[in-house]
Amino acid sequence: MRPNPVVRALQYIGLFVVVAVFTFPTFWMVLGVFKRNVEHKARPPVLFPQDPFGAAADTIRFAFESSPVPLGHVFLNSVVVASATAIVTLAVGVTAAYSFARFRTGGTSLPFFILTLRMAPPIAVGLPFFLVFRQLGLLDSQLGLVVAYTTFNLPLVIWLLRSFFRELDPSMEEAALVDGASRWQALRYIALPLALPAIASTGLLAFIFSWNEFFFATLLTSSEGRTIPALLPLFLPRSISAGQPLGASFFIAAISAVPMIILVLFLQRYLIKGLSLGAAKE
Amino acid sequence: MERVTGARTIESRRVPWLMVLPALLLVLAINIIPLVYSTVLAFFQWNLTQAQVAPRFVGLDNFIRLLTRDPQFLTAAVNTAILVVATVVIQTVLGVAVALLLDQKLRFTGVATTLLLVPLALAPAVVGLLFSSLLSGSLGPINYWLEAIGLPAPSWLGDAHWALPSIVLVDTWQWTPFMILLTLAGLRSLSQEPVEAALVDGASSWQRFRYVKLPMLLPVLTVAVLLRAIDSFKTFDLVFLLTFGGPGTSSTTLSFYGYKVGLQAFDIGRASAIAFLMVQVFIVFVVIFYSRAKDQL
Repeated sequence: MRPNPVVRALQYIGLFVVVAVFTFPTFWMVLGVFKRNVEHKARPPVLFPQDPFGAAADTIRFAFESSPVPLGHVFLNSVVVASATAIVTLAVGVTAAYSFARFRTGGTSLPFFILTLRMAPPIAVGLPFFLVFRQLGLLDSQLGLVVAYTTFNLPLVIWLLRSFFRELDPSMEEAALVDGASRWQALRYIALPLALPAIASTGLLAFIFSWNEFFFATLLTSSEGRTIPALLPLFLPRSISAGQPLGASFFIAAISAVPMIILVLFLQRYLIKGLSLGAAKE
Repeated sequence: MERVTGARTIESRRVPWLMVLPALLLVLAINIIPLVYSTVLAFFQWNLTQAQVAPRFVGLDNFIRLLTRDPQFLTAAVNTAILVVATVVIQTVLGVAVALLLDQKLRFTGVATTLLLVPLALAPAVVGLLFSSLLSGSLGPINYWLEAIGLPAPSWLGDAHWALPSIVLVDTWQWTPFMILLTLAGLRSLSQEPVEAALVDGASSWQRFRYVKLPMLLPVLTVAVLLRAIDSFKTFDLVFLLTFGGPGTSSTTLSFYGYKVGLQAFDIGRASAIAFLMVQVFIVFVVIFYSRAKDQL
């Protein structure tokens, strides 16, 4: 059955509108780095800036000069905290996920209970963290954020890897066990190599979710420990004093966003699987 | 297998729990104990600005104050409820509609689904920052274009009537792609036979959707709706960057109010009571999740 050409045309228009709506703000963000203030305020909106590279140079210089914590330092904090969280959650999560999948340790309720902790309101653990970290001197530290980010990433890592191990055929591991290997060896030498792509993707998800986290970063850091999201409120257009480059707001957004967009393009649909806690079939 | 040694049996019974142990200890230390501590604090009066006054047990006082003498809390609760219902309904309807469009075997669908991932890659705080200029009257193109086609251009973030709808709008921009892509994955994994049978029987495209595809999609949509509802219930980042809860308290959510009470007024007891009440609502969500959606994961 050939579809009606008018219907087809309308469908393509619909597709174009959908893509335009959901990509425009990101395009606008990148464009904003290359505009001067007159162009930011111009009517109609400017799509082709006059002096893009001169404007970007001024914008970037201002962003670096006006940041209360050196931007390089903030960027490094984000990298360190997100990487450390991914590594810690994987190190602890892989064996737990394997055990839940192969032995049904704790039935189905224990893994599900752990999973629910991912979704709990962060303020319920955030206040205790604030109070305890104040005593321990962990406020404004990378370690403090790694602890906070582990609370919601570890449950996700365990849950996603559990479902991966469940789909993995156990016969090779069983053959190894019959040949006298221990469970640990079966995990280390047989299941783990097969799981490596899933482990890497899951680690990337934990990295992204930590990189993007705002609530704990705002609550638990104040200067030296700040990550990029916690710096964003200082670069709101209304916080930038008159005459200073408004593009700084877009630049700081881009520093946070562009690396994640690249990672997500690698992950493709695994992102949806992660965000839906495994409900999306790949 | 009858003659398995005692040592081996104990070993193999221990191994599963040894593998889980580090994770369980970590979860206990950084999830459970803080949650318990937070619950205990909800029954104490403790203000960090009065360092010389020790925390004092006050029973249900914090809760009674919140529910009877704190209009800001009630506003935050109502705002949060509106936010949850509005975002979930709008995003589900839009998400399913666009997913059906993308399922029409059009060209460029592959590129479109990849581009739809981009909003999901962004930190909600980044999205808030971007939209604070996109929606601004002086900087943003949105109001210019609205006026150009003859529509009213509200002062989105500065008007008490528009602040909360603005947050719904921005959240919808970021999360509708999630609903679209999840529904699309669901549509593509559906068995084609019932759909083709309905086609043979002369069902219209609406009938095929309503009576064949939608019932089959329901399980995955249930997961999506519950996840979105739980997330929306906690909305904080967008409020912080777009409106800071204002004008007045017109866009204050429960998370944001808890933050203000705890970290700006340093009233730890009352903030913990807010957190406690949020956890109770969250538990209701989890119970629904457990009974309706667990098998989908």
